[in-house]
Amino acid sequence: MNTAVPTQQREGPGGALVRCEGLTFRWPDAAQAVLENVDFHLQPGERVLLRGASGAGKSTFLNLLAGILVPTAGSLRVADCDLGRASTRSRDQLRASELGVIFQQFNLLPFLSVLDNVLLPLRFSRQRRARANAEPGGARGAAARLLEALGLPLDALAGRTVAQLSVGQQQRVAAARALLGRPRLVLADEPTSALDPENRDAFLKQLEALQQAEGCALLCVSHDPALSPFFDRTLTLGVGPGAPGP
Amino acid sequence: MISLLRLASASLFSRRRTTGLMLCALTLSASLLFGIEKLRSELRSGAYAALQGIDLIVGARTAPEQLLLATVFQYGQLSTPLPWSTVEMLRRKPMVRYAIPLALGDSVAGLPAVGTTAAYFDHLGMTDTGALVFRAGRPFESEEEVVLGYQASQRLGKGLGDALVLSHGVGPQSFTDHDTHPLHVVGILAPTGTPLDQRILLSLEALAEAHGGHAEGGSPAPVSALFLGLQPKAAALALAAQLNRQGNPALTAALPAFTLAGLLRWVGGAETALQVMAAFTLLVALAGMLAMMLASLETRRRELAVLRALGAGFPTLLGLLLLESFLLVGMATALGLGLVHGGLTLAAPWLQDRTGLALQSLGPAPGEGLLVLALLAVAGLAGLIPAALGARRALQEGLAPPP
Repeated sequence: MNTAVPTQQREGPGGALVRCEGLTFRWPDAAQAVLENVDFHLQPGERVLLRGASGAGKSTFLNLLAGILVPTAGSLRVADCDLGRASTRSRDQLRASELGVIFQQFNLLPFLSVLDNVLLPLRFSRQRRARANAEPGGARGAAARLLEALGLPLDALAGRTVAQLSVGQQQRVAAARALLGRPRLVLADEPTSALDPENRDAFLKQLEALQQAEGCALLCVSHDPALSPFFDRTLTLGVGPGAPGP
Repeated sequence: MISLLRLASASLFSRRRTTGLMLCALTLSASLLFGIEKLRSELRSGAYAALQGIDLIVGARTAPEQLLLATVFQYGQLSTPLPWSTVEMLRRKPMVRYAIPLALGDSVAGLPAVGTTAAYFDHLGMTDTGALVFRAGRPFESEEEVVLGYQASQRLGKGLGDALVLSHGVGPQSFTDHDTHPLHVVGILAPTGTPLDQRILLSLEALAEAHGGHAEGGSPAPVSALFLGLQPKAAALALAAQLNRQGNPALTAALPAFTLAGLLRWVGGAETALQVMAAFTLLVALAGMLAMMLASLETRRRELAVLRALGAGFPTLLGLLLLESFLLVGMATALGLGLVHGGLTLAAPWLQDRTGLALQSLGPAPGEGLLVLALLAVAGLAGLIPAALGARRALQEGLAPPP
């Protein structure tokens, strides 16, 4: 029913970061599948925009990739982890260690400092912690550099609570958090929908630069066509049989 | 790395208005629980402290409880005196280290005046030698001298050198004042936290003098009972059995600790009732905590969704939420203990002056450790409900934080 057709198949699935074949997801009691027979490949370091009307199953797809939902049928491998077979614990571990997530808003814990918010993912994965600590200046140095690259030098943030940041600044902190510790894939769910166009473009430019510097792949879900120029390819998660690819 | 503890405490602190109120309620009920436990153990150890130096109490035939209550706790009277020959007979027994006679039945302004010998001061105290500690002065040495318990001196407003008038019979109003025979205060005992604090001690001779004349058969005054100190102490059981069998004169020998234990078992019901009440107030406070945590889950859906997206699994979320209830109850426990012990330490001098309640110890009560464990266990059980609900819902809601 829903098909994401890649614009360009870059290489064989062997090196793919995300390999999804015949992926189907249906809620336990539902008659209709939310996603049916979806094929999708994402290469390491690739930037992909996933578009689709609301209800097309975009967030379900993200939840599947993040290991929060489990496929009903088909195969789904993310960063060498077979999400169809992996235990809950190893799916949580995959998310902690190899994934970064940026929400539309409310990304941050208001009771932690900006720096602690950025460092928070390291709490949940030893590998990620080791990678961040191995960088010059340790995890704090890495966090400071990421924030700086996103236009938020730490000393300018000193003493400010998360609630005192603008929405655009909050999204940047969330991006820094998603990228810290070199995850292999960053998932962004409408990351710019709370931003005005100028802010949006500036944010995407910074995100793109960092993503390339850090060498992670980026999968962004949005309904906004204006985001396309910032991505290697754009896919549409269509509704109805034979939904057109992009 | 940010520890779960820091996450939990930062989250709690960010909701400090509600958690603060909750903490107050929990602290108050915890201190009620600890306070009752402390008071209970104080009363018990106070009661046992009053038995210091007494291995056996011997009186004319009566109930052992009555003998104990009348001689140690000033409660009730002994109508039949002990024949002087019996006193002499007991004194001569080889296992008897000391025999301290008590002549009860007189009072000064409602406080019991007890005729005894100076041996009283040598053996009934808490010190290593068994001597009683004097706050001021010395034991009585003549028929004109009395020693006051700490509280007796406070109540009567008498100090060293002041004169006292004895009245016959127990009770504030007495018909005959023995005012022909003046007595002088020569000693004031340090507080002991036992009924001794209210006693006025004088020699048997002084008591007899006040009554005008001597009692029968060599006894300076009618002796109501004897406190015996034995060597070895284990001889008390056999001696008690022997004396209780004796027919003429009929005697009662009471093993003080054993008899007190029996009395306290009976009192135990009231204590249990108090404890149950305290436990219920704590349950109410815990129910309040439960309600607060359940309500907070609603406002914390975003927080949990973020943690979930960062890779926190069900056990981590459960642990985090559980940690919060432990933190709250742990803090309430610490504050409650501090309140009870700190308060008692500060109030101890005042309590002693005003009520004569001398604390036997300012340290933790024996049941306290168990109480703390029980508290934390109940907190864990109560916290499990919102924790499991919150963690489960975070799993169901998936990646997107609620708007």
